[in-house]
Parts: sequence; structure tokens; C-alpha cells
Amino acid sequence: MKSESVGQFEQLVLTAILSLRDDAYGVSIHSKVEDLAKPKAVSLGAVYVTLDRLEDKGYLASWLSDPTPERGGRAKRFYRLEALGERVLRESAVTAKRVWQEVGRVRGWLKSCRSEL
Amino acid sequence: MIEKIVGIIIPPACREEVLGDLRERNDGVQLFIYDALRTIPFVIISRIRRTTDSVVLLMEAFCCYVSFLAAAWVLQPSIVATREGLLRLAIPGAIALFVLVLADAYANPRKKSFLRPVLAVALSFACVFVVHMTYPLLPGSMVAIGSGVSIFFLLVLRMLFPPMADRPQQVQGPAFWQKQEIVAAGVLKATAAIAGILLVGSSVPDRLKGPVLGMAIAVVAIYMITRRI
Repeated sequence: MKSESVGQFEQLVLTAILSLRDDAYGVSIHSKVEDLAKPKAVSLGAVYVTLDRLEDKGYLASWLSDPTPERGGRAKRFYRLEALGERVLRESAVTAKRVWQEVGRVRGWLKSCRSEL
Repeated sequence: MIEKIVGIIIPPACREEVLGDLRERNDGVQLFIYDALRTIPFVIISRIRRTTDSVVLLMEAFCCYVSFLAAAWVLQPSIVATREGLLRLAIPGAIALFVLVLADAYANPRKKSFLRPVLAVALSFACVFVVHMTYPLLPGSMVAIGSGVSIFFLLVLRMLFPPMADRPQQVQGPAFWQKQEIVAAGVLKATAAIAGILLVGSSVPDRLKGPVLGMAIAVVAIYMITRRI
């Protein structure tokens, strides 16, 4: 089976949806992603593009809610992480952890080299 | 009023939620317009990516070009003999496909109609004729015959491979599963490489043709071997 992988921005969006649980829609996802990506600014358009791409890949499912008055009678599109999305996010977290461990190991080795010199 | 204008620009498939999000984020009119201008291009591009099947688009482009090429071959073979003429033959097809891609992106998935593929094709070639009226690049008869043959081919293609918005949705199925796949992607890459070599070969002076073509073939061969096509 072909292994799935996601980019850094996709990881941010998946993490935001995971943490927002039942309140994951365009605006809330965008503000959560901005929090996670600080100090980088994130545009709402980039979030939409990523949400569409992740939905096409089968990592997310979406549905429209009932219209609400504070949005001018417009509905919200809510997103939920699918099992495949959760698996991909877990895999990327494991990879990130492995990378970080390697960085720590190299740092330790460099420190020991410096102390020997 | 402004919300209505912005709503027209947003593709209908995602109009509801995007307009709602923009309204929720922005209280003032200026902020709303600024945010809309920053967001909508992304929304349109994303919608085009979702509704366009690259393999079908490639087939449509090929059909359009061959149609205009055949029309030129019959009516005025001198056009086919020059590189500029061959380039001009691609322009009506490019305009038609651009309009067709936009028509697919702006199609409302909630309103199903069996006439939609026909109307989209008719609209795209209506735009070709409008452009031809204002800036004629090819003889009128060539545009008429080329467009007629192209419309026939495009309608057949659209019957075989309906636009993404008109295909039945699979329950919980990722959308890209519905797109056409090239069985051997290497075939497409090899075709692109040959086209590239021919393009390079035709544009260099005669005395440099040998070494340049040799180098281009070598580069492509090395690339193919290292990437195993």
C-alpha cells in the first residue's frame, strides 16, 4: 500500500480540527491554525484550499449546519477527522518525534565533541 | 449589496460557507471587501482543482487542437507549414478550454441537469466566436469548422467522462478516486519529453541542431533511467 504523508501546513490544519472537535469550521479552524503557526500569518484562503485537498484525500468529512443569524443567515461547514486522517496525523507526529530525537542525539554528540576539544 | 456582488464571484458549491465565514470575521464593509479579495482567488483555484480532471482536460485539449489542425489542413494548408500558424491554431482551443474549466468550477452541484455539459461547451465556443469577432486570428470559416468538430468531440468526451460535479458521489469515498488515472504515468512523461525535444529542436539554428538535440535526448534519457520513468 502506498504510504500517505502530509505537509506541515496540512498537519497544522488536521491538528486544529482534532483539537476543536465539534466546533471545527472555517473561522475557528483558521484562528486555531494561526495560533499553532505563530508568528507566521495564515490566510483564510490557504486554509480553505487545504481543507478541500484534505477532504479530497479522504482525511476529512464535512457537512453543512443550519443557518445562524450572526452569519447573515448563512450555514457553517463543519469538518471532522476521518480514521485515515487520524492515522496520517499520528504517523507524521511519530516522524516528527523521531526527527527531534535525532536532533537531540546530534546535539549531544556535538557538545561532547566540543568538550573534548 | 456588496455581499451579493461578492457572492456572485464565489463558486456556488462553496458560496454559503465562505460568505458566512467572511461575514462572521468582518464587521465593517471595508474589512469585508479586503478579506474577500484576499480569500476568493484561493477559493476559485481550489474549486477548479476539485472540478478539473487533468487527464480528461488533456484529452479535450488534444481533440480541440486536432480539430483546428484538420480544418486548417483542408481550408488553408499554408498555415500548417509555419510555426506561428501552428501556434495560432492552438488559441481557439485554449480559450474554449479556459471557459469550460471555469464553467465546471461555477456549476452548482445541487442543480443537476443533463443539459449542463452541452450548455458549457456551447458557452465556451460562444466565447471563442466573441474573441474571433474582436481579434480575428484565423479565417472565419476555419474557426467555424474547427469549432464545429471540436464541439462534437467535446460532447462525446463529456458523455464518456462527465464533469466531476455531475458524477455520482461515493459514500465516504475520497474525491480523487473518481478522477481518471493514467495507468503508466511514464507514458505521459515520455510524451512530454518528446514534445519538449521537438520544441527545442525546431527553435535552434540548423548548425546547432545536432549537438542541442543530442544533449536534450541525453538529458531526458538520464532522467528517465535515474527516475526509472
